[in-house]
Amino acid sequence: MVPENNEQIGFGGLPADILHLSQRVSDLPTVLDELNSLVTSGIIKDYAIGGGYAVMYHGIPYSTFDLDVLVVLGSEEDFQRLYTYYRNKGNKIENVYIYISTMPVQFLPNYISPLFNNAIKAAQRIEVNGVPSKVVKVEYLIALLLTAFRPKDKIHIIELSKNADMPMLNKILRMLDDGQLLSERLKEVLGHS
Amino acid sequence: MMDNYYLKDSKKFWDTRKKARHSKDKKLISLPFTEKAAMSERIQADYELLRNAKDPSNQFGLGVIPDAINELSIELLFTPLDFEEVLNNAFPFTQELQDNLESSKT
Repeated sequence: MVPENNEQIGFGGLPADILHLSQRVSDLPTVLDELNSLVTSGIIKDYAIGGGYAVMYHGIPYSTFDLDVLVVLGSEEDFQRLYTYYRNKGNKIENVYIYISTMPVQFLPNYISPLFNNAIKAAQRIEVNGVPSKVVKVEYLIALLLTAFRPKDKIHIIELSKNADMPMLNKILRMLDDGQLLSERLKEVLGHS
Repeated sequence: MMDNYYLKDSKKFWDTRKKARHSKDKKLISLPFTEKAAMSERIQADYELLRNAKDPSNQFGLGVIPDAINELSIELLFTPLDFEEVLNNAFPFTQELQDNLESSKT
């Protein structure tokens, strides 16, 4: 059967209703604008993109549905205040995720560990479509993935380590990895000492 | 930063997030194909934006923090300092200036 022109258009012959949904529109600049306004208004002190979006920034296409944001906060109470702020603003909140625009955002406070704290401090500045932001450096990203250490993290560590400053990574691990666990995991993944 | 600032036991924190992630993954699996396709396109668009993100530290101007200074902040937090060494790392031109100064004296 030959479809009518208005039913199938362009690449892959996607049906029109799917094609309509698949217009490539990114919410990311809007979300980053919102994060910057959190800093300006003093709700958070600083932030850096981590998780799957940082993996993507460092060059690995990766399907992730949520944005992990490492945030500098004064205390656990400030973390609760962040949720209250968005609840009062009417944003959808689902489990730990706060929806900013259509993006589920997970905030990870710096008081989890010195690794998170330093990953934000050392984050690199970027501009996404004209919006200033910060993303964790590849060496810190590897250290954070070594903490999570899921099977997909191991694959990403191997890929990311190709572009990492390994002496810098080892320095970070020496300073922040008390029990040598992360260093051992790195050896396990990369297969050498 | 004080040691007691950090969570003593982060297990509960991560367990909550693990459960939330599983619950979200389950929900995503059951989404209709059209929504999955739209989501996939959104992620692709985000990826393209991130890959085209500019690094403002390549420009000179406000807000530029050289890597060496970032490293300096790590050193300050966690290791005993040899200030001269750290400053030389942060400002590698210092030695050159010093050499020039000394040679100009002779």
